[in-house]
Amino acid sequence: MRPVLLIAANFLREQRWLTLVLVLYAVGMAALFGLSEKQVSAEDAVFFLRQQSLYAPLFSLFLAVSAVHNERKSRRILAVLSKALTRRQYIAGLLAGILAILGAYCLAIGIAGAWLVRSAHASLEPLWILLGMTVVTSVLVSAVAMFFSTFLTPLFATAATALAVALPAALEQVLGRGWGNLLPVYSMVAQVLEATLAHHVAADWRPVTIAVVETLLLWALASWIFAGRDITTAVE
Amino acid sequence: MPPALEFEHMTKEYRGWFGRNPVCALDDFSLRVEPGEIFGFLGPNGAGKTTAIHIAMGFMRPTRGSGQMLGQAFGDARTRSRVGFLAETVALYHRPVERLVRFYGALNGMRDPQLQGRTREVLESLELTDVSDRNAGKLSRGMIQRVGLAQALVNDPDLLVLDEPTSALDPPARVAVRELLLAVRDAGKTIFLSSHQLSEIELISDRVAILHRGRIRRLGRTADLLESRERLQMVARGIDPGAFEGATASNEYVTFDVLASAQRAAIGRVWSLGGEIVRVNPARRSLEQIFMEITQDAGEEPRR
Repeated sequence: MRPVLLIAANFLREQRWLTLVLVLYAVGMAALFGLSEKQVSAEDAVFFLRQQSLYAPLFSLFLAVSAVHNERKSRRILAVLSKALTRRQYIAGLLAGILAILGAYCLAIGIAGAWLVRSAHASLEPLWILLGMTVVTSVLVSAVAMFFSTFLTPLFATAATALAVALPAALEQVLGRGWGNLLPVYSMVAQVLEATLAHHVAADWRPVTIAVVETLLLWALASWIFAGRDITTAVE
Repeated sequence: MPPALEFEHMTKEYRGWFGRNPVCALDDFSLRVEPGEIFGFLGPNGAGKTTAIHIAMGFMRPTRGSGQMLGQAFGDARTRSRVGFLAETVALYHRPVERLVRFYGALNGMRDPQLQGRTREVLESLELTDVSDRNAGKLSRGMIQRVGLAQALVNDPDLLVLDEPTSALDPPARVAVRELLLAVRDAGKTIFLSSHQLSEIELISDRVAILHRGRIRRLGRTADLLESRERLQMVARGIDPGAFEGATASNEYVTFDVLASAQRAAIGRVWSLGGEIVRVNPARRSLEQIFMEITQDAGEEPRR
Protein backbone atom coordinates (compact mmCIF):
# COMPACT_ATOMS: atom_id res chain seq x y z
CA MET A 1 0.00 0.00 0.00
CA ARG A 2 2.85 2.37 0.83
CA PRO A 3 4.33 2.42 -2.72
CA VAL A 4 0.84 3.20 -4.07
CA LEU A 5 0.49 6.16 -1.72
CA LEU A 6 3.99 7.37 -2.57
CA ILE A 7 3.27 7.26 -6.31
CA ALA A 8 -0.09 8.97 -5.75
CA ALA A 9 1.43 11.72 -3.60
CA ASN A 10 4.17 12.21 -6.16
CA PHE A 11 1.65 12.46 -9.01
CA LEU A 12 -0.36 14.99 -7.03
CA ARG A 13 2.80 16.95 -6.37
CA GLU A 14 3.74 16.89 -10.06
CA GLN A 15 0.27 18.18 -10.96
CA ARG A 16 0.01 20.65 -8.09
CA TRP A 17 -0.26 23.75 -10.26
CA LEU A 18 -2.98 22.18 -12.41
CA THR A 19 -4.82 21.16 -9.24
CA LEU A 20 -4.57 24.68 -7.89
CA VAL A 21 -5.89 26.11 -11.16
CA LEU A 22 -8.84 23.67 -11.10
CA VAL A 23 -9.69 24.56 -7.50
CA LEU A 24 -9.39 28.28 -8.17
CA TYR A 25 -11.48 27.90 -11.31
CA ALA A 26 -14.28 26.17 -9.37
CA VAL A 27 -14.18 28.78 -6.61
CA GLY A 28 -13.91 31.63 -9.12
CA MET A 29 -16.91 30.41 -11.11
CA ALA A 30 -18.95 30.08 -7.93
CA ALA A 31 -17.94 33.61 -6.95
CA LEU A 32 -19.06 34.86 -10.38
CA PHE A 33 -22.45 33.21 -9.94
CA GLY A 34 -22.88 34.24 -6.35
CA LEU A 35 -21.66 37.80 -6.49
CA SER A 36 -23.08 38.88 -9.84
CA GLU A 37 -26.68 38.15 -8.78
CA LYS A 38 -28.49 39.99 -6.00
CA GLN A 39 -30.30 36.79 -5.05
CA VAL A 40 -28.92 33.39 -6.04
CA SER A 41 -31.65 31.09 -7.29
CA ALA A 42 -31.74 27.31 -7.02
CA GLU A 43 -31.47 27.19 -10.81
CA ASP A 44 -28.22 29.15 -10.73
CA ALA A 45 -26.79 26.80 -8.14
CA VAL A 46 -27.89 23.73 -10.11
CA PHE A 47 -26.47 25.16 -13.34
CA PHE A 48 -23.12 25.73 -11.60
CA LEU A 49 -23.07 22.22 -10.19
CA ARG A 50 -24.05 20.57 -13.47
CA GLN A 51 -21.43 22.54 -15.37
CA GLN A 52 -18.61 21.66 -12.97
CA SER A 53 -19.74 18.05 -12.73
CA LEU A 54 -19.42 17.68 -16.48
CA TYR A 55 -15.91 19.09 -16.47
CA ALA A 56 -14.63 16.67 -13.83
CA PRO A 57 -14.78 13.52 -16.03
CA LEU A 58 -13.15 15.49 -18.84
CA PHE A 59 -10.28 16.56 -16.59
CA SER A 60 -9.85 12.99 -15.39
CA LEU A 61 -9.73 11.77 -18.99
CA PHE A 62 -6.93 14.14 -19.90
CA LEU A 63 -4.99 13.45 -16.71
CA ALA A 64 -5.22 9.67 -17.08
CA VAL A 65 -4.58 9.44 -20.77
CA SER A 66 -1.19 11.12 -20.55
CA ALA A 67 0.00 9.96 -17.11
CA VAL A 68 1.93 6.86 -18.18
CA HIS A 69 2.96 8.36 -21.52
CA ASN A 70 4.52 11.44 -19.91
CA GLU A 71 6.48 9.35 -17.43
CA ARG A 72 7.77 7.10 -20.19
CA LYS A 73 8.62 9.98 -22.49
CA SER A 74 10.54 11.84 -19.79
CA ARG A 75 12.17 8.51 -18.76
CA ARG A 76 11.43 9.27 -15.12
CA ILE A 77 9.59 5.97 -15.03
CA LEU A 78 12.93 4.10 -15.13
CA ALA A 79 14.12 5.26 -11.72
CA VAL A 80 10.67 4.58 -10.24
CA LEU A 81 10.16 1.10 -11.70
CA SER A 82 13.72 0.12 -10.80
CA LYS A 83 12.51 0.13 -7.19
CA ALA A 84 10.62 -2.56 -5.31
CA LEU A 85 7.16 -1.87 -6.67
CA THR A 86 5.05 -3.80 -9.14
CA ARG A 87 3.46 -2.38 -12.26
CA ARG A 88 0.07 -2.99 -10.64
CA GLN A 89 1.05 -0.78 -7.71
CA TYR A 90 2.35 1.83 -10.13
CA ILE A 91 -0.94 1.99 -12.08
CA ALA A 92 -2.89 2.02 -8.80
CA GLY A 93 -0.71 4.89 -7.59
CA LEU A 94 -1.39 6.94 -10.70
CA LEU A 95 -5.13 6.30 -10.43
CA ALA A 96 -5.05 7.24 -6.76
CA GLY A 97 -3.18 10.43 -7.68
CA ILE A 98 -5.84 11.31 -10.25
CA LEU A 99 -8.50 10.55 -7.63
CA ALA A 100 -6.74 12.91 -5.22
CA ILE A 101 -6.74 15.72 -7.81
CA LEU A 102 -10.40 15.11 -8.62
CA GLY A 103 -11.14 14.93 -4.90
CA ALA A 104 -9.60 18.36 -4.42
CA TYR A 105 -11.53 19.72 -7.40
CA CYS A 106 -14.83 18.18 -6.26
CA LEU A 107 -14.25 19.41 -2.71
CA ALA A 108 -13.81 22.92 -4.09
CA ILE A 109 -17.02 22.49 -6.11
CA GLY A 110 -18.71 21.19 -2.97
CA ILE A 111 -17.67 24.08 -0.76
CA ALA A 112 -18.39 26.68 -3.41
CA GLY A 113 -21.62 24.90 -4.37
CA ALA A 114 -22.72 24.69 -0.74
CA TRP A 115 -22.34 28.45 -0.46
CA LEU A 116 -24.48 28.93 -3.59
CA VAL A 117 -27.08 26.39 -2.44
CA ARG A 118 -27.29 28.03 0.98
CA SER A 119 -27.71 31.40 -0.69
CA ALA A 120 -30.58 29.91 -2.72
CA HIS A 121 -32.13 28.53 0.53
CA ALA A 122 -32.14 25.01 -0.91
CA SER A 123 -31.31 21.65 0.63
CA LEU A 124 -27.67 20.59 0.75
CA GLU A 125 -28.34 16.85 0.59
CA PRO A 126 -28.67 16.58 -3.23
CA LEU A 127 -25.40 18.48 -3.62
CA TRP A 128 -23.36 15.78 -1.88
CA ILE A 129 -25.11 13.02 -3.84
CA LEU A 130 -24.32 14.83 -7.09
CA LEU A 131 -20.73 15.29 -6.07
CA GLY A 132 -20.36 11.66 -5.06
CA MET A 133 -21.71 10.58 -8.42
CA THR A 134 -19.37 12.99 -10.17
CA VAL A 135 -16.36 11.55 -8.36
CA VAL A 136 -17.36 7.96 -9.23
CA THR A 137 -17.97 8.95 -12.88
CA SER A 138 -14.61 10.67 -13.09
CA VAL A 139 -12.75 7.73 -11.54
CA LEU A 140 -14.41 5.34 -13.99
CA VAL A 141 -13.46 7.58 -16.92
CA SER A 142 -9.87 7.78 -15.64
CA ALA A 143 -9.74 3.97 -15.33
CA VAL A 144 -10.99 3.56 -18.91
CA ALA A 145 -8.47 6.15 -20.14
CA MET A 146 -5.65 4.56 -18.14
CA PHE A 147 -6.55 1.15 -19.56
CA PHE A 148 -6.29 2.41 -23.14
CA SER A 149 -3.18 4.47 -22.42
CA THR A 150 -1.25 1.32 -21.47
CA PHE A 151 -1.16 0.27 -25.12
CA LEU A 152 -2.21 3.32 -27.17
CA THR A 153 -0.74 6.77 -27.68
CA PRO A 154 -2.54 9.58 -25.82
CA LEU A 155 -4.39 10.68 -28.96
CA PHE A 156 -5.71 7.20 -29.76
CA ALA A 157 -6.37 6.49 -26.09
CA THR A 158 -8.49 9.66 -25.88
CA ALA A 159 -10.44 8.64 -28.98
CA ALA A 160 -10.87 5.08 -27.68
CA THR A 161 -12.06 6.33 -24.28
CA ALA A 162 -14.53 8.72 -25.90
CA LEU A 163 -15.83 5.86 -28.04
CA ALA A 164 -16.07 3.46 -25.09
CA VAL A 165 -17.98 6.05 -23.06
CA ALA A 166 -20.26 7.09 -25.93
CA LEU A 167 -21.14 3.58 -27.13
CA PRO A 168 -23.34 2.57 -24.16
CA ALA A 169 -25.11 5.94 -24.42
CA ALA A 170 -25.80 5.31 -28.11
CA LEU A 171 -26.95 1.75 -27.37
CA GLU A 172 -29.32 3.05 -24.70
CA GLN A 173 -30.83 5.49 -27.18
CA VAL A 174 -31.26 2.79 -29.83
CA LEU A 175 -31.99 -0.37 -27.84
CA GLY A 176 -33.60 1.05 -24.72
CA ARG A 177 -32.91 1.37 -20.99
CA GLY A 178 -30.26 -0.72 -19.31
CA TRP A 179 -27.64 -0.60 -22.07
CA GLY A 180 -26.24 2.59 -20.61
CA ASN A 181 -25.11 0.57 -17.60
CA LEU A 182 -22.69 -1.38 -19.77
CA LEU A 183 -20.16 1.33 -18.93
CA PRO A 184 -22.31 3.60 -16.79
CA VAL A 185 -20.68 6.98 -17.43
CA TYR A 186 -23.69 8.16 -19.40
CA SER A 187 -26.15 6.81 -16.81
CA MET A 188 -24.46 8.74 -14.01
CA VAL A 189 -23.94 11.93 -16.01
CA ALA A 190 -27.63 11.81 -17.01
CA GLN A 191 -28.61 11.64 -13.33
CA VAL A 192 -26.43 14.64 -12.58
CA LEU A 193 -27.94 16.58 -15.48
CA GLU A 194 -31.50 15.71 -14.44
CA ALA A 195 -31.01 16.48 -10.76
CA THR A 196 -32.63 19.42 -9.04
CA LEU A 197 -32.18 20.96 -5.61
CA ALA A 198 -35.87 21.46 -5.09
CA HIS A 199 -36.53 18.07 -3.63
CA HIS A 200 -34.83 14.96 -2.37
CA VAL A 201 -32.75 13.27 -5.11
CA ALA A 202 -33.95 9.76 -5.82
CA ALA A 203 -30.58 8.49 -7.06
CA ASP A 204 -30.23 5.19 -8.90
CA TRP A 205 -27.26 3.55 -7.18
CA ARG A 206 -27.02 0.60 -9.56
CA PRO A 207 -24.74 2.41 -12.06
CA VAL A 208 -22.56 3.57 -9.16
CA THR A 209 -22.08 -0.01 -7.99
CA ILE A 210 -21.33 -1.14 -11.55
CA ALA A 211 -18.90 1.76 -11.97
CA VAL A 212 -16.96 0.81 -8.84
CA VAL A 213 -16.70 -2.83 -9.93
CA GLU A 214 -15.69 -1.85 -13.48
CA THR A 215 -13.08 0.58 -12.17
CA LEU A 216 -11.45 -2.25 -10.23
CA LEU A 217 -11.65 -4.57 -13.24
CA LEU A 218 -10.16 -1.95 -15.56
CA TRP A 219 -7.36 -1.28 -13.08
CA ALA A 220 -6.57 -5.01 -12.96
CA LEU A 221 -6.72 -5.26 -16.75
CA ALA A 222 -4.59 -2.14 -17.27
CA SER A 223 -2.03 -3.49 -14.78
CA TRP A 224 -1.94 -6.86 -16.53
CA ILE A 225 -1.40 -5.27 -19.95
CA PHE A 226 1.13 -2.78 -18.62
CA ALA A 227 3.06 -5.57 -16.89
CA GLY A 228 3.59 -7.25 -20.24
CA ARG A 229 4.65 -4.11 -22.08
CA ASP A 230 8.18 -2.94 -22.76
CA ILE A 231 8.29 0.41 -21.03
CA THR A 232 11.39 1.53 -22.83
CA THR A 233 12.31 1.28 -26.45
CA ALA A 234 15.93 0.94 -27.48
CA VAL A 235 17.76 4.17 -27.00
CA GLU A 236 20.66 2.90 -29.07
CA MET B 1 26.09 -19.29 -4.50
CA PRO B 2 23.79 -18.04 -7.28
CA PRO B 3 25.22 -15.54 -9.74
CA ALA B 4 24.46 -11.88 -9.14
CA LEU B 5 23.19 -11.60 -12.70
CA GLU B 6 22.71 -14.22 -15.37
CA PHE B 7 21.42 -14.06 -18.93
CA GLU B 8 20.70 -17.41 -20.59
CA HIS B 9 20.43 -17.62 -24.38
CA MET B 10 18.60 -14.35 -24.50
CA THR B 11 17.31 -12.88 -27.73
CA LYS B 12 15.50 -9.59 -28.07
CA GLU B 13 13.96 -8.48 -31.31
CA TYR B 14 12.35 -5.12 -31.86
CA ARG B 15 9.57 -5.22 -34.40
CA GLY B 16 7.47 -2.58 -36.06
CA TRP B 17 3.72 -2.76 -36.60
CA PHE B 18 2.55 -6.21 -37.75
CA GLY B 19 6.04 -7.60 -37.07
CA ARG B 20 7.69 -5.61 -39.82
CA ASN B 21 11.32 -4.43 -39.85
CA PRO B 22 12.63 -6.71 -37.09
CA VAL B 23 15.92 -5.66 -35.50
CA CYS B 24 17.78 -8.15 -33.37
CA ALA B 25 19.22 -6.22 -30.39
CA LEU B 26 20.39 -9.32 -28.49
CA ASP B 27 21.23 -12.53 -30.28
CA ASP B 28 21.43 -15.69 -28.13
CA PHE B 29 23.17 -13.65 -25.47
CA SER B 30 24.49 -15.48 -22.40
CA LEU B 31 26.44 -13.94 -19.54
CA ARG B 32 27.08 -14.69 -15.89
CA VAL B 33 28.16 -12.04 -13.39
CA GLU B 34 29.59 -13.43 -10.16
CA PRO B 35 28.86 -11.91 -6.75
CA GLY B 36 31.43 -9.43 -5.48
CA GLU B 37 32.95 -8.42 -8.80
CA ILE B 38 32.99 -5.25 -10.84
CA PHE B 39 31.90 -6.32 -14.29
CA GLY B 40 32.60 -3.99 -17.21
CA PHE B 41 30.04 -4.22 -19.98
CA LEU B 42 31.32 -2.64 -23.17
CA GLY B 43 30.13 -2.17 -26.69
CA PRO B 44 29.63 0.47 -29.34
CA ASN B 45 26.33 2.32 -29.74
CA GLY B 46 23.60 -0.09 -30.79
CA ALA B 47 25.45 -3.13 -29.48
CA GLY B 48 22.54 -4.07 -27.18
CA LYS B 49 24.00 -3.04 -23.80
CA THR B 50 21.06 -0.92 -22.68
CA THR B 51 18.61 -3.53 -23.97
CA ALA B 52 20.31 -6.20 -21.83
CA ILE B 53 20.26 -3.92 -18.78
CA HIS B 54 16.61 -3.00 -19.28
CA ILE B 55 15.64 -6.65 -19.59
CA ALA B 56 17.52 -7.42 -16.38
CA MET B 57 15.68 -4.60 -14.59
CA GLY B 58 12.32 -5.86 -15.85
CA PHE B 59 11.62 -2.86 -18.08
CA MET B 60 11.47 -5.13 -21.12
CA ARG B 61 10.76 -8.76 -21.84
CA PRO B 62 13.07 -10.89 -23.94
CA THR B 63 11.80 -12.40 -27.16
CA ARG B 64 13.47 -15.66 -26.16
CA GLY B 65 15.62 -16.85 -23.30
CA SER B 66 15.57 -16.17 -19.60
CA GLY B 67 17.66 -14.73 -16.84
CA GLN B 68 17.96 -14.17 -13.15
CA MET B 69 19.05 -11.44 -10.81
CA LEU B 70 20.20 -12.30 -7.29
CA GLY B 71 18.67 -15.75 -7.66
CA GLN B 72 15.24 -14.58 -8.87
CA ALA B 73 13.79 -14.29 -12.38
CA PHE B 74 14.11 -10.89 -14.03
CA GLY B 75 11.30 -8.50 -13.15
CA ASP B 76 10.73 -9.63 -9.57
CA ALA B 77 9.79 -6.51 -7.60
CA ARG B 78 11.03 -7.77 -4.24
CA THR B 79 14.48 -8.52 -5.65
CA ARG B 80 14.75 -4.95 -6.91
CA SER B 81 14.80 -3.73 -3.30
CA ARG B 82 18.34 -5.21 -3.22
CA VAL B 83 19.35 -3.59 -6.50
CA GLY B 84 20.48 -0.06 -7.34
CA PHE B 85 20.02 1.20 -10.88
CA LEU B 86 21.22 4.26 -12.73
CA ALA B 87 19.88 4.83 -16.25
CA GLU B 88 21.98 6.16 -19.10
CA THR B 89 19.76 9.24 -19.30
CA VAL B 90 19.20 10.36 -15.75
CA ALA B 91 15.66 11.71 -15.46
CA LEU B 92 14.44 12.62 -11.99
CA TYR B 93 11.58 14.58 -10.51
CA HIS B 94 12.04 18.27 -9.83
CA ARG B 95 12.16 18.41 -6.07
CA PRO B 96 14.79 19.08 -3.41
CA VAL B 97 17.66 16.60 -3.64
CA GLU B 98 17.36 15.14 -0.15
CA ARG B 99 13.60 14.63 -0.45
CA LEU B 100 14.09 13.08 -3.87
CA VAL B 101 16.60 10.54 -2.59
CA ARG B 102 14.30 9.81 0.37
CA PHE B 103 11.40 9.26 -2.06
CA TYR B 104 13.35 6.62 -4.00
CA GLY B 105 14.52 4.99 -0.80
CA ALA B 106 10.93 4.86 0.48
CA LEU B 107 9.85 3.18 -2.77
CA ASN B 108 12.34 0.46 -1.86
CA GLY B 109 10.56 -0.06 1.44
CA MET B 110 12.99 1.89 3.60
CA ARG B 111 11.69 3.76 6.62
CA ASP B 112 13.07 6.29 9.08
CA PRO B 113 15.42 6.39 10.92
CA GLN B 114 17.33 4.02 8.59
CA LEU B 115 16.18 5.97 5.50
CA GLN B 116 17.20 9.31 6.95
CA GLY B 117 20.62 8.06 8.03
CA ARG B 118 21.33 6.31 4.75
CA THR B 119 20.16 9.34 2.71
CA ARG B 120 22.55 11.64 4.57
CA GLU B 121 25.35 9.07 4.17
CA VAL B 122 25.05 8.79 0.37
CA LEU B 123 24.62 12.54 -0.07
CA GLU B 124 27.82 13.03 1.90
CA SER B 125 29.76 10.37 -0.01
CA LEU B 126 28.74 11.95 -3.32
CA GLU B 127 29.45 15.48 -2.06
CA LEU B 128 25.83 16.53 -2.42
CA THR B 129 25.27 17.76 1.12
CA ASP B 130 25.65 21.40 0.07
CA VAL B 131 22.89 21.09 -2.52
CA SER B 132 20.57 18.80 -0.52
CA ASP B 133 17.93 21.58 -0.28
CA ARG B 134 18.19 22.61 -3.92
CA ASN B 135 15.70 21.54 -6.56
CA ALA B 136 17.15 18.70 -8.63
CA GLY B 137 15.64 20.24 -11.76
CA LYS B 138 17.91 23.25 -11.39
CA LEU B 139 21.18 21.36 -11.05
CA SER B 140 23.85 20.88 -13.72
CA ARG B 141 24.01 17.61 -15.68
CA GLY B 142 26.96 16.39 -13.66
CA MET B 143 25.19 17.09 -10.37
CA ILE B 144 22.04 15.35 -11.60
CA GLN B 145 24.15 12.31 -12.43
CA ARG B 146 25.45 12.34 -8.88
CA VAL B 147 21.89 12.57 -7.55
CA GLY B 148 21.08 9.63 -9.81
CA LEU B 149 23.91 7.69 -8.23
CA ALA B 150 22.63 8.67 -4.78
CA GLN B 151 19.17 7.24 -5.51
CA ALA B 152 20.81 4.06 -6.79
CA LEU B 153 22.91 3.69 -3.64
CA VAL B 154 20.38 4.77 -1.01
CA ASN B 155 19.13 1.23 -0.32
CA ASP B 156 22.69 -0.09 0.14
CA PRO B 157 22.17 -2.52 -2.77
CA ASP B 158 23.76 -5.94 -3.17
CA LEU B 159 23.86 -5.39 -6.92
CA LEU B 160 24.49 -2.06 -8.58
CA VAL B 161 23.55 -1.78 -12.27
CA LEU B 162 25.02 1.36 -13.76
CA ASP B 163 24.55 2.50 -17.34
CA GLU B 164 27.17 5.15 -18.15
CA PRO B 165 27.50 6.43 -14.58
CA THR B 166 30.29 8.92 -15.19
CA SER B 167 29.48 10.26 -18.66
CA ALA B 168 28.58 13.75 -17.40
CA LEU B 169 31.15 14.02 -14.61
CA ASP B 170 34.29 16.11 -14.55
CA PRO B 171 37.65 14.36 -13.87
CA PRO B 172 37.72 14.92 -10.06
CA ALA B 173 34.14 13.66 -9.76
CA ARG B 174 35.03 10.64 -11.91
CA VAL B 175 37.90 9.78 -9.59
CA ALA B 176 35.57 10.16 -6.60
CA VAL B 177 32.95 7.88 -8.17
CA ARG B 178 35.64 5.35 -9.11
CA GLU B 179 36.82 5.25 -5.50
CA LEU B 180 33.25 4.96 -4.31
CA LEU B 181 32.61 2.00 -6.62
CA LEU B 182 35.77 0.27 -5.43
CA ALA B 183 34.65 0.79 -1.84
CA VAL B 184 31.23 -0.68 -2.72
CA ARG B 185 32.96 -3.71 -4.28
CA ASP B 186 35.21 -4.08 -1.24
CA ALA B 187 32.08 -4.19 0.90
CA GLY B 188 31.13 -7.38 -0.99
CA LYS B 189 28.65 -5.88 -3.44
CA THR B 190 28.46 -6.58 -7.16
CA ILE B 191 28.68 -3.85 -9.77
CA PHE B 192 27.53 -4.28 -13.36
CA LEU B 193 28.93 -1.32 -15.19
CA SER B 194 28.19 -0.30 -18.75
CA SER B 195 30.37 2.49 -20.04
CA HIS B 196 32.06 4.07 -23.01
CA GLN B 197 34.82 5.33 -20.74
CA LEU B 198 37.18 2.49 -21.58
CA SER B 199 39.99 3.78 -19.39
CA GLU B 200 37.62 3.77 -16.40
CA ILE B 201 36.54 0.21 -17.08
CA GLU B 202 40.17 -0.82 -17.49
CA LEU B 203 41.03 0.69 -14.13
CA ILE B 204 38.29 -0.80 -11.98
CA SER B 205 36.74 -3.85 -13.65
CA ASP B 206 37.60 -7.36 -12.53
CA ARG B 207 36.08 -8.84 -15.67
CA VAL B 208 34.99 -7.38 -18.97
CA ALA B 209 32.61 -8.39 -21.75
CA ILE B 210 32.60 -6.72 -25.12
CA LEU B 211 29.25 -6.84 -26.86
CA HIS B 212 28.78 -6.13 -30.54
CA ARG B 213 25.63 -6.56 -32.60
CA GLY B 214 23.90 -8.34 -29.76
CA ARG B 215 26.60 -10.96 -29.20
CA ILE B 216 29.48 -11.29 -26.77
CA ARG B 217 32.70 -10.93 -28.76
CA ARG B 218 35.18 -11.08 -25.89
CA LEU B 219 34.79 -12.07 -22.27
CA GLY B 220 37.36 -12.54 -19.57
CA ARG B 221 39.42 -11.11 -16.76
CA THR B 222 40.49 -7.58 -17.59
CA ALA B 223 44.17 -8.35 -16.98
CA ASP B 224 44.02 -11.41 -19.27
CA LEU B 225 42.29 -9.51 -22.03
CA LEU B 226 44.82 -6.72 -21.95
CA GLU B 227 47.68 -9.17 -22.32
CA SER B 228 48.32 -10.14 -25.92
CA ARG B 229 49.16 -13.74 -26.74
CA GLU B 230 50.22 -12.85 -30.26
CA ARG B 231 52.62 -10.02 -29.52
CA LEU B 232 55.55 -9.70 -27.17
CA GLN B 233 57.17 -6.64 -25.74
CA MET B 234 60.97 -6.76 -25.68
CA VAL B 235 63.37 -4.51 -23.82
CA ALA B 236 66.98 -4.52 -25.00
CA ARG B 237 70.11 -2.45 -24.46
CA GLY B 238 73.17 -1.73 -26.46
CA ILE B 239 71.33 -1.31 -29.78
CA ASP B 240 70.17 1.60 -31.90
CA PRO B 241 66.40 2.36 -31.56
CA GLY B 242 66.16 2.57 -35.36
CA ALA B 243 66.93 -1.14 -35.66
CA PHE B 244 63.31 -2.10 -34.88
CA GLU B 245 60.18 -0.51 -36.26
CA GLY B 246 58.22 1.46 -33.68
CA ALA B 247 60.94 1.10 -31.04
CA THR B 248 61.21 3.72 -28.29
CA ALA B 249 64.32 4.56 -26.33
CA SER B 250 64.52 5.53 -22.69
CA ASN B 251 67.97 6.03 -21.22
CA GLU B 252 69.96 3.03 -22.46
CA TYR B 253 66.90 0.79 -22.90
CA VAL B 254 65.11 0.24 -26.22
CA THR B 255 61.54 -1.08 -26.11
CA PHE B 256 59.76 -2.66 -29.08
CA ASP B 257 56.93 -5.09 -29.91
CA VAL B 258 57.31 -8.18 -32.09
CA LEU B 259 55.01 -10.99 -33.15
CA ALA B 260 55.37 -14.04 -30.91
CA SER B 261 56.32 -16.08 -33.96
CA ALA B 262 59.21 -13.66 -34.65
CA GLN B 263 60.59 -13.78 -31.10
CA ARG B 264 63.59 -16.00 -31.90
CA ALA B 265 64.57 -13.91 -34.95
CA ALA B 266 64.31 -10.65 -32.95
CA ILE B 267 66.51 -11.98 -30.17
CA GLY B 268 69.08 -13.14 -32.77
CA ARG B 269 69.01 -9.71 -34.34
CA VAL B 270 69.64 -7.94 -31.02
CA TRP B 271 72.62 -10.22 -30.37
CA SER B 272 73.97 -9.74 -33.87
CA LEU B 273 73.86 -5.98 -33.33
CA GLY B 274 75.93 -6.41 -30.18
CA GLY B 275 73.09 -5.77 -27.78
CA GLU B 276 71.46 -7.86 -25.09
CA ILE B 277 67.88 -8.69 -24.19
CA VAL B 278 66.82 -7.33 -20.79
CA ARG B 279 63.17 -8.42 -20.65
CA VAL B 280 60.52 -10.21 -22.73
CA ASN B 281 56.85 -9.91 -21.66
CA PRO B 282 53.47 -10.40 -23.33
CA ALA B 283 52.62 -7.07 -24.97
CA ARG B 284 49.98 -5.14 -23.06
CA ARG B 285 47.30 -3.45 -25.11
CA SER B 286 44.78 -0.90 -24.02
CA LEU B 287 41.13 -1.80 -23.79
CA GLU B 288 40.53 0.77 -26.47
CA GLN B 289 42.77 -1.13 -28.92
CA ILE B 290 40.94 -4.39 -28.21
CA PHE B 291 37.59 -2.66 -28.47
CA MET B 292 38.47 -1.15 -31.83
CA GLU B 293 39.81 -4.46 -33.18
CA ILE B 294 36.67 -6.35 -32.17
CA THR B 295 34.19 -3.81 -33.42
CA GLN B 296 36.04 -3.38 -36.73
CA ASP B 297 36.43 -7.14 -37.27
CA ALA B 298 32.75 -7.71 -36.61
CA GLY B 299 31.71 -4.60 -38.46
CA GLU B 300 31.23 -6.33 -41.77
CA GLU B 301 28.89 -9.01 -40.41
CA PRO B 302 25.30 -8.44 -41.43
CA ARG B 303 22.86 -7.88 -38.57
CA ARG B 304 20.05 -10.42 -38.35
